[in-house]
This record gives sequence, structure tokens and C-alpha cells, in this order.
Amino acid sequence: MSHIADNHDALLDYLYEEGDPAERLKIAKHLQECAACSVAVLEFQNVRGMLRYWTQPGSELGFRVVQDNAFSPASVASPVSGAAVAVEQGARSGVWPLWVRSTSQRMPWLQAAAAVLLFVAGMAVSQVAVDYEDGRVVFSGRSAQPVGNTRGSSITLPPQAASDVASPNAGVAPQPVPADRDPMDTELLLQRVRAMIDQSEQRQQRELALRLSQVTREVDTQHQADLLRIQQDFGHQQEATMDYLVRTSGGAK
Amino acid sequence: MTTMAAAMPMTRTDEDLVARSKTGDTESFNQLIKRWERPIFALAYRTLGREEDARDVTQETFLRAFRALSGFKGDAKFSSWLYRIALNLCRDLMRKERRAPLVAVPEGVEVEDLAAERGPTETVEDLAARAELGREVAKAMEFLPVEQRQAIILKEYHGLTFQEIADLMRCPLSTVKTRVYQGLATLRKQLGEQLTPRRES
Repeated sequence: MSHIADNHDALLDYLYEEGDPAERLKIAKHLQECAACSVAVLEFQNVRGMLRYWTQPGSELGFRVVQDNAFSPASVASPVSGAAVAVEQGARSGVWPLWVRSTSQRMPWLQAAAAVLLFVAGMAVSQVAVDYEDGRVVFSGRSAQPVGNTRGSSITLPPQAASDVASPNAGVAPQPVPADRDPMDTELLLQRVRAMIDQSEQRQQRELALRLSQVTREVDTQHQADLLRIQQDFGHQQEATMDYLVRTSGGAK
Repeated sequence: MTTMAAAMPMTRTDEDLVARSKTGDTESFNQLIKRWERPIFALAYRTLGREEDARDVTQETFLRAFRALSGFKGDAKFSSWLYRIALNLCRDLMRKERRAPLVAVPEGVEVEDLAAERGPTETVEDLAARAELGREVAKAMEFLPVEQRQAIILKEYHGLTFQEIADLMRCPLSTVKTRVYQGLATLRKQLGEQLTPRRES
């Protein structure tokens, strides 16, 4: 058999397990005997193994197309051209569909909203009362007794900090958070937080599945490389043994 | 329409979702996006080396697909069609950037990003080493012409067959194999220092 180091087609078919299985078997046998080809294959397999280290960022994408008015794709095709900005501008006029970018691109807003949401939910769960008194936001622990009768340690924020907590928008007056929150509001908040947590868990499970498949492929690649190396070493040993036998038998004569 | 789409099982085929999208069912198209945005983003990211560019290409890919959906006859798989749009967009962007005076350096993935997927026996040093190797690969990839780079990405990270890549890139099978071989040979040369200890170990 010719050296597959010189036969790129055969080399690639063997590396990627494509082509005729019988041919690949021949190559495997050839590799057991040919050190040069074994080294060539091993080097390419090592390159492939290294490629696994180049992972993509695991950032959220979440692209969606949102329909503004009744339309069909065909009706959108002609007037909009160019980048998504044109579509977004078109969407503002209420004619074309709005193309919403990935959620993570609006992270400052979303993060702020999520932080406030979690913060308020945390307050509700931990029974911390938030009052707004004389331009200050007052946090206090709340017992089973009515608010005002027994208050725990209070943390008082200056007005500026209170503004930061209440709203991410500079220049917008902070709205007081009622101390006696409606149980329905709290329930709604908790539901939203639970939904967010569920979404996060689902995303993590998806990513975990992807990572697992990637690791499996890495292990396979390494396994093949190891097998090849073992075969190669075995071949060398055989050669050495043969050399030794030839030498010793020659010496005996 | 939204209620109906929300009740749809996740196992609908691409062809089914495409057919529904053609009738104006936006939620079906959103399901296609959800299904394919990650692979398209990965393809764009590895081709371009920058997350922000990859996001732009991903968005533009789906936007173009959406606008041209009525013209999609289903001769090829929907995913192949998306891949082709993304490949062309990447190529256009790379050609445009080639005229720019600065060469973009690939971002790679930081240790913090890898920490979430750390194995039970993996130390921080291991993570750092992985991140460094990833950056080395990204740098080495920069040396490849865009056609070789895309062929290797489609083969290595998307598991396409040589014939599928040939169909996507609209070139003969032998050309794809040559591109992959030459690309791997260049990478072997570029990654030589990193490969040596692996061989010894």
C-alpha cells in the first residue's frame, strides 16, 4: 500500500472516518507497519485535538423576530435592505417587523431590572420592610407583629443612594416602595423570579449537554491518538526485536 | 397564533416550521432561530474571531433568511441554507476588513468563561492552560485563508461531511479536501510548539 502521508484524500478519510470502511481498515493495517505514516496521522490528530480547546463564548443570544403588523415574509422582502438598523427604524414606523437583538445586548437595563426584581423579592421573602420617610429609604426587619411596633436594625440610605436603588434612570425621582406590600404583588414577583430561575436552569442544562458532547469528542480523539501511539510503539518494539533476532542469528552463524 | 405556536411540540421538523413560517407564523420562525442561532453564532465567531461581529452576522443571517423565506424552495436543508448565508456574510465582512489598516486579533475565551464548565478534577491552572491553548488556536486560525478556515470550522466544529461542505461552499469535493488538508498542515506548523509537548506526553 502507498504511504497515506502522501495521499491527502486517504489521510483525511481516515482522520474523519469517511469514505470506504474497507479502505480505512487497510490504512489502519498500513499504519501498524509504517512509522512515517503513523507519525503523520498522529500529528494531524494532535492538531485536531488542539482545535477542541477553541471554545466559543457561552453568552446568551435569544434572537427573535417580532411581528408588528400583519404581514408575510414576502411583503417584507422588497422595501427593507441593508443592515438590521434599517429594520429597526422601519419597525419604529410600525410597518415592518421589529428585529429584537439578543437579550444580552441590553444587559445594563436587564441586569438593573433583574437586580431590582430580585432585591424586592428578597425583601418580601425575608420580611424586610422598606419605608420611604423624609426623602430617605429606610430598611427594617419585620416580625409577625405589625410594622412600627417592633423594628429591627435599620439601614438608612442617603437620598442619592435611594435614587440609585429605586430607579436606574438618572433624574427620575425615586418612587417609595410601600411597606405593606400587597400579597398578590409579592406572589407575582415570586412567580416572575421563579420563571427567570427556570429559564436559567434550562439554559444551563442545554449548555451542559453541549459541553458533554464536546468532551466526548475530545476523549474519542485522544483515545484514537493513544491507540495509534500504542500501535506505533508496538511496531517499533517488533522492529527492534526482529533486528535483535537477525543480529543474534547472524552472529550464531 | 401565539397560543397555537406555544402549544407546538419542540420536535417539529425544520421543514414543517419553514412551511408554517411562510404562512406568516412568526413564532415558528422564532423556533427555527432558537434551534439554529447557536450553531450559526459559533460558525461566525470562529470565522471572524470577534463576538460582536459574530452577533451581527447571526442577526443578519436570520434577517436575510426571514426576508427571503418565500423564495426558499426546500431543495437544500434549511440549516444548509442558513449556513450558506452566514458563510457569505462572514466572507464579505472579512474582505471588507482586509482593507482596514488594523488586523483584528481573535478574542478567544477567558478563564472566567471556562470556569463554569470546569471538571471535578480540573484546577484553575488547567483552566488557564485551556484558555491559553484556545487563544493559540484562534491565533493560528488567523493564518488561514478564509476558505480553508471555513472548511475546517465546518468539518471540526459542525461535523459536516466533506460532501456537505462541498455543497455548501459550491465547490468540488476535491477542493474541500485540499482546503482542509492545507489548513490542517498550516495549523500543524503554527501550533508546532504546543504540539511537541503533547506528543512527548
